[in-house]
Amino acid sequence: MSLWVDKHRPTSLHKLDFHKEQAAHLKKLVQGGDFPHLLVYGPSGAGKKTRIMCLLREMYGSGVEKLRIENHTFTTPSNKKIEISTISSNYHIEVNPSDVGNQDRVVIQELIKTVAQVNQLETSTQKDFKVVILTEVDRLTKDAQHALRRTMEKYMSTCRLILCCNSTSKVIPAIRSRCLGVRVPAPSIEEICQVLQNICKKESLNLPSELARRIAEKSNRNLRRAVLMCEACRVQQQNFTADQEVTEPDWELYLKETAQLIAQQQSPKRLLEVRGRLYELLTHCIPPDVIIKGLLQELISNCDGQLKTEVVQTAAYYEHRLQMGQKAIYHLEAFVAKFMAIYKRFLEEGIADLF
Amino acid sequence: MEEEDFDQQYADELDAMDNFDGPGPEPSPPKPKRSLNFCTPVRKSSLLDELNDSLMTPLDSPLDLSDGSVIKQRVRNESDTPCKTGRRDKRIRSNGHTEEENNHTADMLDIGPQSKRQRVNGFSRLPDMDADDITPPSSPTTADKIVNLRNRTLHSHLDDVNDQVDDGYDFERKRVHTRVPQGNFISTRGTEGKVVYLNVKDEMELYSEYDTVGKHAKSTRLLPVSVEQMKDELETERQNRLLEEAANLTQQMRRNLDDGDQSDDDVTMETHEDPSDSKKILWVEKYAPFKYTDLLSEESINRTLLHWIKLWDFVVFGKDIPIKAKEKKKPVKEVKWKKNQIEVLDELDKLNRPKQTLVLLNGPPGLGKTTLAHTVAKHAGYNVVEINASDDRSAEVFKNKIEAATQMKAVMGAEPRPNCLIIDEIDGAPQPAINMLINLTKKIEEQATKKKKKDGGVLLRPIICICNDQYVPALRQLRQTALIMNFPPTEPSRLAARLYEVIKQEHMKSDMTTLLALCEKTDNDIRSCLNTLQFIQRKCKELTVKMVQHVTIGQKDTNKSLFSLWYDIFSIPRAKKNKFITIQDIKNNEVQVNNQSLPARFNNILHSTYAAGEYDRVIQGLFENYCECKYKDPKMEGLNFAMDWLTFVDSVNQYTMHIQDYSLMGYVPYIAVTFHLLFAANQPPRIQYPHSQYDALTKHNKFTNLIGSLMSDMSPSVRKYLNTASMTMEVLPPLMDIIQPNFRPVNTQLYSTREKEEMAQLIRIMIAYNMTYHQEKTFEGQFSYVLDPHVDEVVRFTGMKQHKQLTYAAKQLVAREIEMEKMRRNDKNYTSSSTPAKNVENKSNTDVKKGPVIPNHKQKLQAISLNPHQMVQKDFFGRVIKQKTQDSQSSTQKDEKKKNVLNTDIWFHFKGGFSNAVRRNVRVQDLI
Repeated sequence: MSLWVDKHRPTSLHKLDFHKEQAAHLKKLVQGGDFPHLLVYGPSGAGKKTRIMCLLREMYGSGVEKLRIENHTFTTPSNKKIEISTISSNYHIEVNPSDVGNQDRVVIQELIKTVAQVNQLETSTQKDFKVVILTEVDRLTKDAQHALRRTMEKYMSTCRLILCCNSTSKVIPAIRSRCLGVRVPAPSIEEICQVLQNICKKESLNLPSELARRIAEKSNRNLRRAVLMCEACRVQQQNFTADQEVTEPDWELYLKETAQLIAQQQSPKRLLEVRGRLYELLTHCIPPDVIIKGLLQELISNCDGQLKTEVVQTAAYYEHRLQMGQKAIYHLEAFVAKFMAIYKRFLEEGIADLF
Repeated sequence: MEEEDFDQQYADELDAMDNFDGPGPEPSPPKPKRSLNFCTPVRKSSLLDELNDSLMTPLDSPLDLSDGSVIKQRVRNESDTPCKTGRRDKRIRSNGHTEEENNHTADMLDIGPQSKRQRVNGFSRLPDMDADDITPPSSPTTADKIVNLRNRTLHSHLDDVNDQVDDGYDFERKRVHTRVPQGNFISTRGTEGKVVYLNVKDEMELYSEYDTVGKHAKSTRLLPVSVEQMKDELETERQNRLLEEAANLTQQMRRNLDDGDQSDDDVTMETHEDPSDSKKILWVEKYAPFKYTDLLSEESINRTLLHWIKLWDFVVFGKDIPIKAKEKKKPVKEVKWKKNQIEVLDELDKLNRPKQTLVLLNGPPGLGKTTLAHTVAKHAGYNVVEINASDDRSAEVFKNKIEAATQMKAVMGAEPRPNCLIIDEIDGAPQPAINMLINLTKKIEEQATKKKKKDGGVLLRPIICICNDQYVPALRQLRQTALIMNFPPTEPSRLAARLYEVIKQEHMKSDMTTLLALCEKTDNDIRSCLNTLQFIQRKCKELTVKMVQHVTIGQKDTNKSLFSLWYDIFSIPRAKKNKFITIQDIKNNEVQVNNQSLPARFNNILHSTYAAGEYDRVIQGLFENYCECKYKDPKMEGLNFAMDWLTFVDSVNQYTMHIQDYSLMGYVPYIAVTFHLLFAANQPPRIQYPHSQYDALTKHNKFTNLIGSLMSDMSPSVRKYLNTASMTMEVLPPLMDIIQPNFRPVNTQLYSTREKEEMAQLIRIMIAYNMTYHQEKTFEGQFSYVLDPHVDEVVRFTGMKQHKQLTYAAKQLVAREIEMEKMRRNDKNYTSSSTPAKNVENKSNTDVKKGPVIPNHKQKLQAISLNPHQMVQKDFFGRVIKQKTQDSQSSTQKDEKKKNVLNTDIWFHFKGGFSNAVRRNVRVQDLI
């Protein structure tokens, strides 16, 4: 493929760059000819999907790489038509049920049934089960998750599920217990540096180790980001230099600026200003929890030790309420206002202490 | 001079008033009344009075009471006993027949219009001709009476005939009795010394007897009924008709007519007379204004409407209106009139109608719009036809009704009056119906020249429309054509004064201050005031300030506009002087419900939020406006508190929406109270309509759609590793940089291999991620290439540093290359798919081989090109050197093929059309 991310993506389990031990485990699992339902979880850019695809390839051969996109239409009990697109090969089908929002239960039930009710024809040469990959399981509604758990057991003979998510906290325990959990942690900075160096070697480029490290640090231990940033650097400049500028995504810079605004001044007027910026971030499809996390990370650097716990606590509180509510902007602004109050008190106490 | 001016200005009004001053509180124009010919009955009744009086006096003497027959006679004379019994008696009695006749006339006269007489006689149940006294319950009795009367007159005729036949006998009857006779008598001695008795007749009776005797003698007996009686009969018939008509009228206009005239002194009497009736009627109806002068709405409004309706006089009645005189004085008039006076255009159009053919009365409920329209129309001499929301108002029905009302006229009835159409509650009417109405007025204007006046389609009657909200979308058209009159609120003093009158009549105790308080509480809604009063009257007879202020009655569940709600929330209410404190209250130290007190504010805000309903919008407005408020909150604690409330409300909303359990919904409005108590300021707040949420939502949707469309067409091998979130946050920002490499602004032919490779790389990336450039024209008319889908926007933030862009030429180049690459790939797919997978050995060979082998008719045609030189020409199309070898390979293949073709039995020779061009397969790859 064209982008480095795609071009240099490992395609088999033994080619994986990090978490090699885990890769070996997976390989053994597959060699046994069968495997249980899997729940692969870990942060974004850690290589969950890559691992899954390697696993499938290990099991079914190169046939899994012949992919096609299909559009399925389902009818809900309330006669509403919902459409969802899937990526499938002859051996597996991948779907992101949360694309359809609240109606994901229907997708889960119908799709898995149709897939699972068809047996493989040549069981002698092929595995007698298909694989269904469900992505973003943590965004599934509770209904859908409950619908899933019986289906998982019922069609065990004909299909295996691989669930993929960022965090298991939103996956109901019933499902967690039915799956073999595979945690894919984010690569360490050294590992990322190593990967970048390997890629550049393949591209016959010379990557200075300082730059590699900087990129790795800026990528928040997200390998995909790191590789993309590296390629962006390469496009900027034909040959890498150690002191080259690494462009960060706009939204991160914007978020940082917002945090600075909050720290500079605490007043309703500033709050209004911040609100405008928060709206801007939200409209640019930045998830609110990412925003609150980013703000916290920036703001905490301005705080003393005692204050830190308080701020983190409030952030946690508002992030929780954010998950419970609908309108993210209220919760974000509530957090900002709360921080402003805390910070203002802290500053005033500091001034009082001086005199 | 002054007076003259006044006369001219208020000519209409004065005119209208003149009409009604004469006959007292009467709604109908005096004409029909005058037409009634009451001469005969009046004369007769006066005579009858005398007769009755004279007849009665002797009967009252105690002496008569000894005789039973006297009582009988008395009964007959005094009361309204049915005639038949009387008639039977009459046969026996020779002198009875005059009395009988008198009785009969009296019967007929009973339905006559002499109200005074009726009262004296105690016949109060008979309806008066004066319509205002007619109460609906009495109408059936009237009908009964009429039937009775008819029967009676019929019978009396027959009896009269009999009487006349018997006359001869009567003359020779015994006048001297030897025994004591019936009736009055005197005893005397005859010539033989016997005591004889003589009947005594009253002098007057004698006279009248003489009269009738004379009449009977004169009668020619050509007719079975005398002319006199026929006249009487006609008279009664006419009366009957009028009565029926009156009854109809009452039913039709009952609302306004029933006891409407409360200012009249008679009303008090009436309420005394039948309290049972008054309890059944709503006071709103009972005390509805009935005269023009009774109207509570503002004087100028009344006058304008009257003026407008008077402009129709020429068309409708053919009366000449003093318009010309007015027009001369116009400047003077304008100065004199109030500034905010709605201008009635005095001009008439070609059909002599007012320019504004419609009037739109607009105002909140309870100000008396409908009453005004009805009263004014009636006073101007129209018959009111009302269409309101309770009627079917689909366009078709509506049209029929309008036409019926405006172009037809009641034929029945003594004095048919022209119709005036009142369309009430027009703001609820469907759009097509209103359009129809507008078309009706407009269409006629256009065709007025062609059509004659008498043509069916011409609108020649005034139409008054009434609405509560003139800004309903359906009325937009109407507002442009109609004369719009906005109702200002009624003056509380006037309203209170009127209420006081009502209270007086209803024997309730109260005072002006209480009534003023009531007016204030109901926002000067007349209807609401009256209803409240009636409600209280049922409970107790006294209305006190305390009741008004404490009882939860009379408070309307008004729907405030969102803006006024936000305004209320963000401002501290002005301290209103509590005008209604009584000394007792102060003594008792009772808490005054001051609108500034905390509980009152709390309640007010809560109530209005409840009433407003749209919590979501309300809260959005609070959220967007609270930051601009001026309030003291140095520690930002209030702010945090408010934010806590917001988040709480949000989670409540989420819960209710998710679980569909609305029990928690009731707690949502308290947020308004919180915000009010926290942020309300004395200065008037500047409220802005909240739209940022909506803006953000639309923008967010736009961006998600962009990402969605981008991802839907990505190559699956790329897409499977991505989701929307990672796409926006991780992939796109660096990708935007990656797809903008440095290109030398030179011809691609001059690119080095490394640059070419770069270019190819870029193209591959862009195709894999489903991106391309496409040309767009900017507003300035310049062309530019923009990314398609325009994900650029998603990644870029305003105010951040500008990212480098490719030049126009470079983008053009990239766009072109992408197109070509796509075509190439499609072509490859096509060829690979069209070749059946027979030979799996090596792909490159099969591709080349299979291509030409496809057996179709084209192939055969190609086979005809026998000239081997043509094969060489193929090189021109191929750019890559490789192709030559391919071509050479294929040419060898084709040679084989040709031989095959020639070997077959049947083959076709293709002779091209005009040119000698030879058809052959050209692949896309050959062209690019």
